[in-house]
Amino acid sequence: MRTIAIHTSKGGVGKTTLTVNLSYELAKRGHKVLVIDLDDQANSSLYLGVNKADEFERSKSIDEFERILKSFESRKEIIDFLVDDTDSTDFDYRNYIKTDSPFNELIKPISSGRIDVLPGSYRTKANDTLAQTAGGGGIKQHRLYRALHKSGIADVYDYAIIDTPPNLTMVGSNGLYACRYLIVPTQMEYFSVYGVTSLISSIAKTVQFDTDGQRGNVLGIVPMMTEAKNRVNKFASQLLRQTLPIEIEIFPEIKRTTHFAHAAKDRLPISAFAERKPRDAGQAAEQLLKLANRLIERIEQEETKR
Amino acid sequence: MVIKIESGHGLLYLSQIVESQEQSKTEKSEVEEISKSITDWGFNLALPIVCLTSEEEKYRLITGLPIYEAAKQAGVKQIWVCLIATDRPNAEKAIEEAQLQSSLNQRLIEPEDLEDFRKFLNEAKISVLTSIPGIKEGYAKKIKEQRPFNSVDELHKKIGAKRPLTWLKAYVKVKNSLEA
Repeated sequence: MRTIAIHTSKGGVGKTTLTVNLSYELAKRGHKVLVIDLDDQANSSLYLGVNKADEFERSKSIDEFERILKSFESRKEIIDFLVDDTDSTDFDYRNYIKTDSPFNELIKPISSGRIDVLPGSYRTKANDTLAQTAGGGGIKQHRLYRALHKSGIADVYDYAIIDTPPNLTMVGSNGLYACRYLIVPTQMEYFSVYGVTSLISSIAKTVQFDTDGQRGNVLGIVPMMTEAKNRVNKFASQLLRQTLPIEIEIFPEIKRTTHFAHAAKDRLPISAFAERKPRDAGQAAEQLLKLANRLIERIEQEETKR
Repeated sequence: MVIKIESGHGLLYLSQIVESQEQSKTEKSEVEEISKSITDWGFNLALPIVCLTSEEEKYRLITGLPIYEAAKQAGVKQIWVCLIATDRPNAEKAIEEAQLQSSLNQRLIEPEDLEDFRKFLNEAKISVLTSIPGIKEGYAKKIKEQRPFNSVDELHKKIGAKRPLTWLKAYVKVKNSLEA
């Protein structure tokens, strides 16, 4: 199983857009993809249609909204997967995974791939059990890695795409320690350069150091929401290129457009959205495709190197 | 990839704990009492010590077998432990230190408890004095003969220091359980 985490120190840069659309591109190619939603805002789970999005949209009061939220308490999700006893005989990872993402209906006519989701919710943040686990940081940070391998998930799926929270919680660290590859979406603003550089340097000192380079390898950054004539974007891009080590790639960019927001509202991947409105969203879909192609190519290069 | 394990307090699944001794020699009724307490509180109040084994994420229980048994009986999945990240022989020192600390983990005596107790010794009838565990008939008579105790010092001079302390603890326990 190839494990890819999508991580950024800033919210609102298009992390969910990237998680969901890359997963869809991989599934279209016939791969079995598991999206692991470590972000307690759980936007990927919502986008992929496994977090009662329809019911939320129909709710007419805060009370009703809260009733729907409360219903998450009775289901097993990512936080339970992280803290439950993976060694017990009645542990079955299938109890934690949602296989009914409507995205699979879109994939079916195209390929034999699919997207399943290990969903999250607000419950991710409210649970203390992980923090209270005996054995120190190493044990707590490796829960996801261990659970993915012990449960058999690693043998069943081709890809795990891990969406991480922007503020690095213990749950978020689990994503970094579980992934072999890491990509960092970022806006190309002046402050982002600082954020990205310090993030990459801290991952080298922690995850990569602790795991002898086995985990958390930053493949590259993905410029998000760029604008064609924006000089700051160009400046930030040059600055990053001169600062970052050469093996960290600057991936094909995703330009700023409202079509991603519209696609998210309809809960469609950008490529399916673009089929309906090719004149508007076609370019965005092409950029995403180009990025996915390059990412897969890069991973294959990495794996032949080894 | 070797994961570094650190010593400290935390939760473990009962399934992660291996025990070498078959069963504790603790009375069944006591294990049941602990089990009830774990059910009521949702956690254990005293921490068994565990150390590393050759198996990854399995720990050997080296103290507190009855607490572990009670947790199993209570049907909880996790137990609080003190994990010593070393093997059994090297954990020996930690066991000794923990045992010293546990034996000193005594109830604190409030000044007002001490004062109440002095009054109690001055005023209570023999039949009431003997209701305190540890005060036998003979001592109750001696207490009555030696009255009054105007201060704690005087009490120590007349009866000694050690016995009144034992009685005081028993007295506080009875008093608190009555108030609760």
